[in-house]
Amino acid sequence: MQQDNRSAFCKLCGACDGTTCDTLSSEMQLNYELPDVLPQTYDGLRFTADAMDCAMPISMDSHSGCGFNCVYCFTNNLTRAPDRNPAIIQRAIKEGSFYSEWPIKQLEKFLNRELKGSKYAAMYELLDGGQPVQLGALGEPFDTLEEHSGWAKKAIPLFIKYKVAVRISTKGGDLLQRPEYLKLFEDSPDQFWFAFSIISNSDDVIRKVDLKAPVTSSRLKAMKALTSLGCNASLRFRPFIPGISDAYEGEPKAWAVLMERAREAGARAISFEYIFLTQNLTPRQEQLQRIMLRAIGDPDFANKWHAMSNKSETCRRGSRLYKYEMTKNVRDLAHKLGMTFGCSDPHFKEWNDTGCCCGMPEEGDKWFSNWSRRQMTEVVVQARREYERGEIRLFSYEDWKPDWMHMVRFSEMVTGKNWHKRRLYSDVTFGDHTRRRWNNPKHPRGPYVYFDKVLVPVGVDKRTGDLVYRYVPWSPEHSGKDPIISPDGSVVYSD
Amino acid sequence: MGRKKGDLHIAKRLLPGDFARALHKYHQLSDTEKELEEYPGLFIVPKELRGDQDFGVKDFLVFYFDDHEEYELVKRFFELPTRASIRHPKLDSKKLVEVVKNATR
Repeated sequence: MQQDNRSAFCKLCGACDGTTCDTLSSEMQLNYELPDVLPQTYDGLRFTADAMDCAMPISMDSHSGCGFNCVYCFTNNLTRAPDRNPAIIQRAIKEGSFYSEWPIKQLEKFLNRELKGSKYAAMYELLDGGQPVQLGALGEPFDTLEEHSGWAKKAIPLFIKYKVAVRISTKGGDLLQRPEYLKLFEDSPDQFWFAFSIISNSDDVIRKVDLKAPVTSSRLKAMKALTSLGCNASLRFRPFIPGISDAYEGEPKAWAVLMERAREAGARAISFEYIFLTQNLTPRQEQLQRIMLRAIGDPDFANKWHAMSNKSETCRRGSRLYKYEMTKNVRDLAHKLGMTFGCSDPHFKEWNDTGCCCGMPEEGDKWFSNWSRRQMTEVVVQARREYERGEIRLFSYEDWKPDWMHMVRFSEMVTGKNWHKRRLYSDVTFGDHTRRRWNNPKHPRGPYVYFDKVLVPVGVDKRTGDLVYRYVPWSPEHSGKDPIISPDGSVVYSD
Repeated sequence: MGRKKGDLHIAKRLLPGDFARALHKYHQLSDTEKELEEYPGLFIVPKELRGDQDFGVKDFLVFYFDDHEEYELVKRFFELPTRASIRHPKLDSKKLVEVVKNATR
C-alpha cells in the first residue's frame, strides 16, 4: 500500500524520474510496509521550541513522523525530516521501520507524575495550573499510522483519567468520523479541543497539496460530529496560501465560504497565519515546493514572496502590507460569525482577541481558559489593549519571563547545529537564550523584528539590564519605515 | 498504636481538572518596576539599543593536577568532540581523571 502511495506521489510531482526520493529509500534499505508493532523508541513529549509566543508550551506527538505528507509542512525544515537528519535513516535501518511510536506507558508515567528531572518538574508545575497540552504538534495524531497502531485509542482514556485538557491539531477527518473514535470522547467531551487544520474550501484543490490527508468535506464532517458530542473545535486556517486559501477559479471568496462552513460545523474560533517559506531547501523540499507552486498557479510565487520578506529572517513571512487587507477581512468575518479571532502570524498578532493564538477564551471555560499568559502573544495583545485605552504600558523581560524556560537546557529544546555551538551552549537554559533575543532589537526572533515594529524598545532597565518595550500601532502608511521615539514620547518614522 | 506496614495514608492528589491552584504564577503577566537608563541621543532609535547579552554569571571550577599526563588526558578529552556529558560537582582532580578514563576506555 505504501509503495502504491509513493508511486502516486511520483506521478503527482513529476519533477524528476523518481531518483530524488529513490535515493532516500534505497539508502534506507527498507520497504515501506509498516511492521505489525512500531518500534517503541520515540519520545513524543517536549516543550515546543516556539514557546516564546505560545500559550500551550507542552506538546506531544504519538509518532516520529506523519502519514499525510502535506507539501508545505513546516517539519520539512526541521531535523525531524529524513533528508535533514542522517540519524533518522540510520535508526530506520536499525529498527526496520521508518516510523517509531511513543510508548503509551511513557505517556501514563508522565500523566501520573512519575518522570524525574527539571524538565518534567517544570511541566508538572504547568499541569498543576490546569494548563491544556498540545497533541499533534509536529505530526498528525489521526493519520494512517494511527489507523495501523491505535495509539490514540489508548491515550484518550488516559487524558480523561488524569484530567488533562488536550488541544488536538488534526486533519484526520476520516478516522474521527468512525464510531469507535467518536466514542473515545463521550465521557468528557469538553476536555478536548479540535483545531481542524484546513487551508482550502475545495476538496479538489486541497488534494493537490495535502497529498494523503482526508479532504476538506471529510474534516468538516468530523468537526460537526465532534462538536455535536460536546467537544470544542476551531478552524486552523494556516498556512494561508494565496491561490489555494483565498480564491481560485470558480470560487472568488473561497476563504469566506470555508469560514462559514466551519462555523456551521461548530467551530468557535479561528487561528490564522500566512505561509512562511525558507530559502534553504533540500532537493526533496524543492520538489515539494514545485507541487505547491503548481497548485497556487503561479510558478514565480516563491520568488515574489522572498522579495517582499525581511531578508534577516530564516522563516520568510512576506510583508504586513501584503497581508493587511486579507487579515482584516478574516478577523472581521470571524467576529461577524461570532468566532474568536486568533492570529498566530507574527504580523498582526496584536489583533488577537486573547493572548492565545489558538483562539481559546480568557475566562469561563473549565478546561481551556488556563493557558499560559507568560509568553509574548499575551504581551503584544495586552500592550495593544492598554494603548487603545489611552495608556502606554512598558514591558521588560521580567514581566513575562516564564520560569519553566529557565529550568530547561537550551540543548534540550533546539538542535545545536554543530559540536562547537552545542558545547558553548551546554550550560545555557532556553530562558537565557530567549532573554538574549528579547534584548537584541536586530535579532529576527527578538520582538522588534519578529512582530515587525509594533513592540518598540524605548530603553534599558538599569536594574536588570533588559530592554523595555512599548506598543506602537502599525499602519499601512508607515509600512517598511522604522519608528523613532521623540523626547515627548510621540513616534516619528524614518525613511 | 504503632503504624503498621501498608498503613501509609496517601491524600487524594488534585489533578489539573480539579484546579489545584486558583491563582497560578503562569496565569498573568507581571508589572515590575522599571528604571530606564538615560539615552544619550535626543530621539530613541530602536536598533541602537541593546540589552544585556550575557547568559548570566557561570561558576568556574578550577582543578589542579599533580601529574602532567593526567592533565593532558583531561584536556584532550574536553577539547575533543564528544557526546559524553561529564559533570562532577566536587573539586576532586583524581575523581575527574577517573571519570575521563572511564569515559574514554
